[in-house]
Amino acid sequence: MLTYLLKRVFQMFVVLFMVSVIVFCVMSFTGDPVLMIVPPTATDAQIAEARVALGLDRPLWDQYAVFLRNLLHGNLGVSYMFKRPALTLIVERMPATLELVFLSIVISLAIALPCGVFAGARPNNALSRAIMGGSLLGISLPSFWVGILLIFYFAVEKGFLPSSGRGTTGTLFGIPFAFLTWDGFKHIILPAFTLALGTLAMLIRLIRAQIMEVMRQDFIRFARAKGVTWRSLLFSHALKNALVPVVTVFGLQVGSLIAFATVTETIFAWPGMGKLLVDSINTSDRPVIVAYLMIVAAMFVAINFIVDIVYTMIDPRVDLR
Amino acid sequence: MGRRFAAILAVCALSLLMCTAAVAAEKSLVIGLASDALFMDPSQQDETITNTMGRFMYDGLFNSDPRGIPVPGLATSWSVGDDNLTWTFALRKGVKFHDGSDFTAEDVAYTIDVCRTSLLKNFTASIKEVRIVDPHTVKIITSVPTAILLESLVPLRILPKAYRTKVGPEKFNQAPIGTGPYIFQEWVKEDHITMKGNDAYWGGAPKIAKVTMRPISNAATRTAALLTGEVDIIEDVPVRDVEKVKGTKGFEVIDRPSERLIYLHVDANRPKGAGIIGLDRNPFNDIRVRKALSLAINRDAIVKMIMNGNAYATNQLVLEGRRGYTKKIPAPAYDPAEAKKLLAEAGYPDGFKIYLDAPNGRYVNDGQVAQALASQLTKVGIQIELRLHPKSVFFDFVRPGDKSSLVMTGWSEPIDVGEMASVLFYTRGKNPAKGGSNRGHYANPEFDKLIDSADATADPAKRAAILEDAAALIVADGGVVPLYFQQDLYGRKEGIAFTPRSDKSILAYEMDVK
Repeated sequence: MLTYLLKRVFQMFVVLFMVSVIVFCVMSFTGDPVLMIVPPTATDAQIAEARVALGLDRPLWDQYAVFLRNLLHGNLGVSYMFKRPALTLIVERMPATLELVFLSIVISLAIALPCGVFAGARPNNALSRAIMGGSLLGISLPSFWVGILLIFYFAVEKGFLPSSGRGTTGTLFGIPFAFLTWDGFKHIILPAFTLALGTLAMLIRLIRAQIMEVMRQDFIRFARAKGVTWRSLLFSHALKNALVPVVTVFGLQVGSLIAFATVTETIFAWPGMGKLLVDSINTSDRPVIVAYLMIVAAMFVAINFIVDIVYTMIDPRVDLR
Repeated sequence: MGRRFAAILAVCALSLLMCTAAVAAEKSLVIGLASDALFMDPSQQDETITNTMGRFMYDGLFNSDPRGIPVPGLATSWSVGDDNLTWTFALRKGVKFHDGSDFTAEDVAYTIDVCRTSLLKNFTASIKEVRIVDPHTVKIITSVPTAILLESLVPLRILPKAYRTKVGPEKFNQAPIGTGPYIFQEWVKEDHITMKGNDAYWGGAPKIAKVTMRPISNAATRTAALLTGEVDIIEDVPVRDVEKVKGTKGFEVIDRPSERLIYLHVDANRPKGAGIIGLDRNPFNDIRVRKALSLAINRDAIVKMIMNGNAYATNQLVLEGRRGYTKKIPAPAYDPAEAKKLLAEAGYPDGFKIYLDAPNGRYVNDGQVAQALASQLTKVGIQIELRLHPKSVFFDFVRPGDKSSLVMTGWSEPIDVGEMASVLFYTRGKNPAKGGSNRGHYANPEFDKLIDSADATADPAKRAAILEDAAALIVADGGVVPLYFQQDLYGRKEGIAFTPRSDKSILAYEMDVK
């Protein structure tokens, strides 16, 4: 187990290193940040001066070396636009994104598990067909469109829910969260549902396919013969055996939820780190883009690591060596 | 039991009523903006929302009225010495910063010092020295006679020297104070900024006591937030939502011409233009070709078809009321037959082929406008190969001016034609401070001379007369082809008194809620 852990941590660093190299190279093709920062009236001398001040006059490899050295000191660079540490900017906005992603996970699991299991156990039922049809819509509709539609229906037409923003926040461990207040909770429902939609639909389809597969196996027939109740059969025998691929995909989905939050956050004016990324791309604010991608990559790697651990809990046959 | 319940209910209802009454006495306003402020410290960046915050919470020696004309702020009167270089300003007495400390000449000198080294340094460029005469008198000595000094002083929002040096710039940006009509309360990045009215403001207490600003960058969401009543007024109503807002009872759309001009840079002078396909000479050297270029463009059609009428076709460089707007420039003409004739006379009966470089996503509908231009120009024989660039690489591409002879771009000029021309149309390389963004390499000694003489006077009226000649000259010469001014669009609830400003700031101090 320990060797396995060490191996994984080493792999993690290799991945992060490679991500940093790729991101750094790609960044250098995305326009000149200096021209985004200086006023349009700036003279050539002012532009050159700003370039030196940002260290952009150095060759790329040198910039990268500076970046790596700073990284080892826990410094991910200073935003060109905000003149504040990129890490601070991201951490400030991270709770908003994480709470959105977390609620999306809860929503997708709460809906996908019963729906998927039901559709798998009774594939020919009319309700199952409706669930499957709905899931197809959920996969194929683009989230920015669904988001706008939800805003216009629930906020503008019906007036049930607010259209955008985070509302009033409550504080937990000194961190502001929206779901702690009724007002904030109303604000988070629409964005969280919009974000959950794709994952939810995909999970339903996956769980259904797995359940159908498992239901054909002998041990299910045995269990039924033994007199196990239908519910216990489905949720503890069938679902547990169907879960291993679901957990893998789910782990990857959590990563993409964090990534897709950029779109949802922009639509709902949700003050998370995804919106920061979009703004930073628009202004070529390289330190923020690099820091964001590094942090998200680290999250991805960590989530997949956790997923591997979870395997062993679900299926003792899986060996971590 | 039922009666008791009813009584409780009545008490509840009554107290609720009293609550709302108490709230109603204090007027509040929620503003929906297209983006968050970059800074609360106005000396750090010249950006629309940051500048707006500068107008809420601070004063300049001069503030600007809705048309953009400087009006006395913390300076009450001023005079220019006989040398045309020494300006003496009398400062307003009894003004206090939000922490209760006094505003003095020290703060003026400090602010100009800070801006000298920040991204606002172009506004301090002509200031040689600041001399504190006494706590309420300050002398500013310019290096050359500067007719635009008052305008240049507007963006320099006065910082509190004692407080800002004590807490440092980083902390100051998170908890700023100024002398302005609103007092900073809270800034949750990308979510909201709240401010309360400064009842001790020297210009009188603001009518609206509480202001919340919400950045909502997605345009459709911004419209929705207005229609649900979550915000009272929004900026940048998307063109496609204008009819919807107008058609909803209780809401209105307000527009005004924007300072942003969309125009074409033309490489008129260099014998070999870049980006001209299959020709070893530059057709734009011939004034007839430049004239044909302007005549071939149907500005009205572009405004009507692509901008939905939300723009103003023009041949001017600045809006009416700004120095350099002149009746000497005729209204734009559309005459494709004449354009064809001029091209033939110039030796291009079959036309020629050229790249048009334009941004995509920087200005309203810019990509579609460029496509319309391409088809209109191609019809008369100026065959366009369109190159659209994403916003983040466009300026990088066109700034050196070595890759294209025809560039569509925009410029928002807050002062006058002189400021615009010295950046965009002054001969490159002649003066290190001028011509830096002359993407078309326009070079006309006569024009340069006019700009130089405008920059050598301290008299705004004289400057205006010179700039009118300069604007008429360059437009007639075809060194620039103005297309249209954009439109600023605001959506508001009925009952909100609001006059749009040339600088796009939605200033609660000038507004009222009925």
